[in-house]
Amino acid sequence: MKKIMIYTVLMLLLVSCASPSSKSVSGTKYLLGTVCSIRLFGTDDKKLIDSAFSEIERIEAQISVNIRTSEVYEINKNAGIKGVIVTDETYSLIKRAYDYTVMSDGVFNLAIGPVVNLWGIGTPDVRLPSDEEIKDALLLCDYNLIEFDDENNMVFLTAEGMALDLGAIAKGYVADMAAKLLKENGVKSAIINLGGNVMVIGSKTDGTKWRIGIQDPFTERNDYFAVYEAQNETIVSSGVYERFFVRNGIRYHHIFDSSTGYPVMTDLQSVSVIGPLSEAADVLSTIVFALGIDKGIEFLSDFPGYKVLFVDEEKMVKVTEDLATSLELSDDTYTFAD
Amino acid sequence: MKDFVIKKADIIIVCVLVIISILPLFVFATESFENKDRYAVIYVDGKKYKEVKLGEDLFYEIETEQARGYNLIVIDGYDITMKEADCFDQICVRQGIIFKIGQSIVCLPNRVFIEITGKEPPEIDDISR
Repeated sequence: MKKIMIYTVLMLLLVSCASPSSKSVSGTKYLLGTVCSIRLFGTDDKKLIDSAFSEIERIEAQISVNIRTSEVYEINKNAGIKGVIVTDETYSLIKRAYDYTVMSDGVFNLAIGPVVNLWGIGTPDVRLPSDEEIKDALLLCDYNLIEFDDENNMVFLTAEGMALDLGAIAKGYVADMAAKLLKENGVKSAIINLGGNVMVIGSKTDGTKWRIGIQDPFTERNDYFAVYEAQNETIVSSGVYERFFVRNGIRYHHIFDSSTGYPVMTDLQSVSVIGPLSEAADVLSTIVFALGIDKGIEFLSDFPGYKVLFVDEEKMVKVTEDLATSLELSDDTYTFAD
Repeated sequence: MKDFVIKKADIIIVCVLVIISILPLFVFATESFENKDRYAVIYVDGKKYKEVKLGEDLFYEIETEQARGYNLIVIDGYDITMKEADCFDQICVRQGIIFKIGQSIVCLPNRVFIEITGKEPPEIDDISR
């Protein structure tokens, strides 16, 4: 009898050595004006991918400024005419965007639409506007001219020509919602990448952390200069390399200073914000990029759990304290700043 | 304690068990050896357009001609470039060569996306940009 028991134990030990599940499934779609990819590990259920993409499409259909049937498009179309009633979800997203706007004194500005549209960076109509045009457009970026009616979920842009632009928050919010849906459906290991905004769920199926590269801002290829080990986190980067155009030897990038109407003047090349939620990380990456290192770090101190790394023109990497140990510089032309 | 004496049959059983347990390792090992293969996967407007195997002596010129525009992808061995595109920003063409698993070239205006895939463990899992 004992012998049988010993064999049984031996069998169990050997069987338990079998390799972990290597199932995975992935999908890529063109949504939110960019390439979106979702990869799930430990499952091969394609339906989960489809449902996550449907969720992204559902939200995009409500908040896109380009889709003519969206609620935000409707708000913009009725600027100076009347308020528009929107769904709870869209209303609260716009309200949060407004709160970030006020909190950052307009460094992040949900009403930046007129300036963004004037320049057209990232569209075929890109051009260098005159100072006069910029001045006029700036008057329409005043977020104090937005009227909210909380009772009725109504948003009214009170001056004609005003336009909301949720470009610096939308992808973040959508990533959070897609991650939430996947987690609710039992996904424990996944990577969501919305045009470079990375959100990881859990860790790899072998239990180790995800290795997420940080884009080298000096190259247009997707080379990375650093690797961050992530778990249940999002990494959102903003920088001069993303969308820009060059005119008369000057490089104009896509992150606007809403006090001048010109791209933010900075010696930073990029910033990456790491934290639990992608919506906050998305907004914060824009804000700290525009504020620069000192003011940016100060601003971030109101957001516990969010870390940042800055890259300047000298390839110096400045990180908030808790990041230095979890970030590895893979490119030796980069150095940590003191 | 009498039934604890090891007999010849026991040794055979143990050996058989050990062999059975190790066998999958070899099976998986050869599988991962075969999995050194790399592929270029090309998407147009979010749909898979073409997938080709990469190899030292393999050369491909792949054109995507569609309503949004024209792109010419050149795959020379393991190096992939967007050789031509009629998009307005030419970002994809300036991206140059990609050759590592996980790297990609995107032509946003024409919605063309090329990605290098393979089962080999990549150095990183994704890139934040």
